[in-house]
Amino acid sequence: MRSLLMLPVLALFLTGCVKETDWPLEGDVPKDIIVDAIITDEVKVHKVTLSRPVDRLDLPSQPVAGAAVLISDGDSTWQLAETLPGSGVYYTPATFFARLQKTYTLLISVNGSIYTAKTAMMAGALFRELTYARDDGNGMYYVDWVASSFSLESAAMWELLIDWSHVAGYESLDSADNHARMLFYTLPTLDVSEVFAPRMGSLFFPAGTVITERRYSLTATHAEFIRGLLLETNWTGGVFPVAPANVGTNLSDGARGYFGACAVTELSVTIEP
Amino acid sequence: MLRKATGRLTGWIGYTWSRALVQTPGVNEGNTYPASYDHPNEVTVNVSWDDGKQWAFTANWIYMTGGAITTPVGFYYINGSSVPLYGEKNNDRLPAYHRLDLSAAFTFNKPDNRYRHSLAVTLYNAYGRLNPFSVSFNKLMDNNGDFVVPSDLEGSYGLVPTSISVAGIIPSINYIFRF
Repeated sequence: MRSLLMLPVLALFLTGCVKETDWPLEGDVPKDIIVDAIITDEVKVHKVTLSRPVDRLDLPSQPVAGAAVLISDGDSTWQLAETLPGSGVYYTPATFFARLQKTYTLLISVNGSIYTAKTAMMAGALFRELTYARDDGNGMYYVDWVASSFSLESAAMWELLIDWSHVAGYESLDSADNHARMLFYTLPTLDVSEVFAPRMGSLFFPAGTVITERRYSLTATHAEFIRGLLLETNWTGGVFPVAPANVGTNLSDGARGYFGACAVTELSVTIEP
Repeated sequence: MLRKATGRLTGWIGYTWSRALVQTPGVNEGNTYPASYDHPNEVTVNVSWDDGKQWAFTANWIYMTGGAITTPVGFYYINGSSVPLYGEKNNDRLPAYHRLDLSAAFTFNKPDNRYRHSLAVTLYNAYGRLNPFSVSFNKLMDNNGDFVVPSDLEGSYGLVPTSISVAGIIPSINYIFRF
């Protein structure tokens, strides 16, 4: 009976209307520094991106140049270099990698202000590879399943690097048209906004596409940060809006963003016809 | 309030000015902010016509200032996602809310009958006003003309602000039997 009663309510929502609107923003943009930094257990160049907010949707980010950026694990300290001056992207030495049971501190000094953050890493895990399916309408393929969206014990971020630039007929396209990057998450929480999230765009690719599937382990605080991020990005704009709020951070002194450390496990999938 | 309570044509016009301000420790840095249900101006117009026998018609129009909402003052980028940055709580307002409801009722029985039964046809939001209840800044228009959250974080975006409204016109039919 209850489900019968819900039908008219659902029907109302289904006939709801999403439309583009002209919405000038009210208020001044804070000049907060934004930190986007994930270090992993892979031996490679890692990057820390520093930027400032922009006052309109879709504007390119404003880099924070000339900062001094250090990462320390208590025993060693690495100085990051802004290889391309003015880019706001700071790189570690190629020999850098994060270890389990270490606490890493990020220290940023810019324009006389100092910002810090601490993070640690959870162990990585092996995983079952994604599944894909063929769309009967266009004959292309799409990602069907990556991972469970809920796990109390094992939070993770899944990055899919999708490449069909080597597939015949697609070689000469721009990189944006034959590469894609998707993120999925396994979190220890389940939100109404997640269940009733707005629809995501479809992404199709041809047979022969290679997908590199990367699993990033998440600490509880990193998972909580990502939950807050998703509430304000992928999960907002559905039929059950939540009160908007700024995403949390582990940065000090008014900086925003997150400094995380993740163990990465990876496998590769080739799309077979 | 203006009111006409006698005759076949009855009705009233009402205007209310009110404020609903909230102060919550730990929210909005402790400063007062308008509640989401803060509608300073509200106008209601009600008109009814009854032929005294079988037909009755009613029109009800409501207008109110849009509710207070929190919208971003800027955006920043984390791992390919555009993230809204907020300033003061409920710094903005939805567009004004208004709608017209119409109803027509036909009574089948005569006034002195023991049993009474009637049929009413109602149009909620008769002119199909799309009153938005939220605004978001995370969608783009896909090739089918639908607004979706981007799945490819490396793609060139084209994010646009979008508003969500619940259905336009909602018709209903009610049969009422009293005994």
